Amino acid sequence: MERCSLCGTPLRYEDDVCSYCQHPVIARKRPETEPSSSSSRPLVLCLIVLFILVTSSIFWYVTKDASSSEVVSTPIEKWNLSEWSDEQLAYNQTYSKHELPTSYDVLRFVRQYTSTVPELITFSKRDDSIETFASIQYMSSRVFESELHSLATLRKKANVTLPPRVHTVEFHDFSSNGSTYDLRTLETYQTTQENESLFVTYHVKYRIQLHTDHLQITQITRTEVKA
Amino acid sequence: MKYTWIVLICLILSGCMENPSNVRTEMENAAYTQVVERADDEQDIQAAQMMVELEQQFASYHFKEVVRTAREIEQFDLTPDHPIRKRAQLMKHTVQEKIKQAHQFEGTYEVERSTFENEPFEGSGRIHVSFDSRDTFVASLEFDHFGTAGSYRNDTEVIRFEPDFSARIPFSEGSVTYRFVRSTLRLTFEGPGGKQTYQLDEIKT
Repeated sequence: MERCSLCGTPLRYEDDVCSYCQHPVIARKRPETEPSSSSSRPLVLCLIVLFILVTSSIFWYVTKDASSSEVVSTPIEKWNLSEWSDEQLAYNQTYSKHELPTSYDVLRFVRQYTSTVPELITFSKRDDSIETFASIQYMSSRVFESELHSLATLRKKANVTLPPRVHTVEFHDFSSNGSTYDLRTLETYQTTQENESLFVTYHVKYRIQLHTDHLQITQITRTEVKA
Repeated sequence: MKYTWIVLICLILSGCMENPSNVRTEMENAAYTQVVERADDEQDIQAAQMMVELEQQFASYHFKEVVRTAREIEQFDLTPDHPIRKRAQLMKHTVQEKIKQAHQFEGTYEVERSTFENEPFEGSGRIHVSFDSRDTFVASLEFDHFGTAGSYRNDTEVIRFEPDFSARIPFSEGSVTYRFVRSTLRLTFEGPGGKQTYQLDEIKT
């Protein structure tokens, strides 16, 4: 705080004369550094920001280079056969909200279902129970019933003693909306009559859902492709 | 003013840091259909769409198409350790090995040994094997005077093999198993009558 140069009384900022001795305030010692420091502060901060940006850019560039050289030197990795083939049963796999199926898990689930289709044509409502057929592991009983109706052509062409088999399965238009998956397939089944191979092809639309903790087919639309 | 600058610095620094978003997690978890649905970044959407296509081809066993699509994904401007790039490379290397194996198994095989319930019998003939150029595991097996005298087989059978190059085909009251191992092809017929095995060796040309 400033004081009167004559009597030493403390002076207020707006005083032109001393309140005690009326001695005029001749030369006020104003803090000269204050305005200049406030004007230079943004400049200092800008320099700090610039320094941080430059340092982080250099750090990013150096680490990027290091990681790319690591990848180049990594040996060629291959996917384990059991992880992508049908060795492991897909309907046994359990999932949760935090551990959702991979998109390939869904495709593999459907591919494994198609391998159970040939057995479906042997189903007899009178003699068989749904639970003994592998297909029911993949779908609801309502969809099971619809598949029995849709496979009429394959049933007609197949030899009673010689069940058909999957020839090819092609996947198309795979998409998902949260926990529901939609996809289309082109499935060809092979059957033999009098030593001659016959093929039956279907366009199939699947809807699959995450049911509690496992995948389940909730809708199938099967249309035969006429030759 | 002082606080504005502090907030500004914090914002700049947070922008510099990598944001572990849901999309990134889904990419790492290979849930590409979800990425296509949720991502905002055009490059993420495009890369995920290609991965969905790649996985469809992979699941269909269209391995030549897998190699082509994986190469297209590698052309994307993705970092070397990006989960999509790594997964595409993993699939490409896997299918390249299978394509190579399928090529190695192509050729003509001749009966070297035939047994019925472990007792040898007079079996003979050849099988010409060729794999489909699109469906990698679909093979044509052309039987040439194959079997036993009086019941030779001279037809062609189209068979889809499993990824381990084995196939089990049902026939009336039984099944026949085909299995490639190194340069041999083994056919095992199993039925009510018993178990008959043909071991064929590849004829080197």
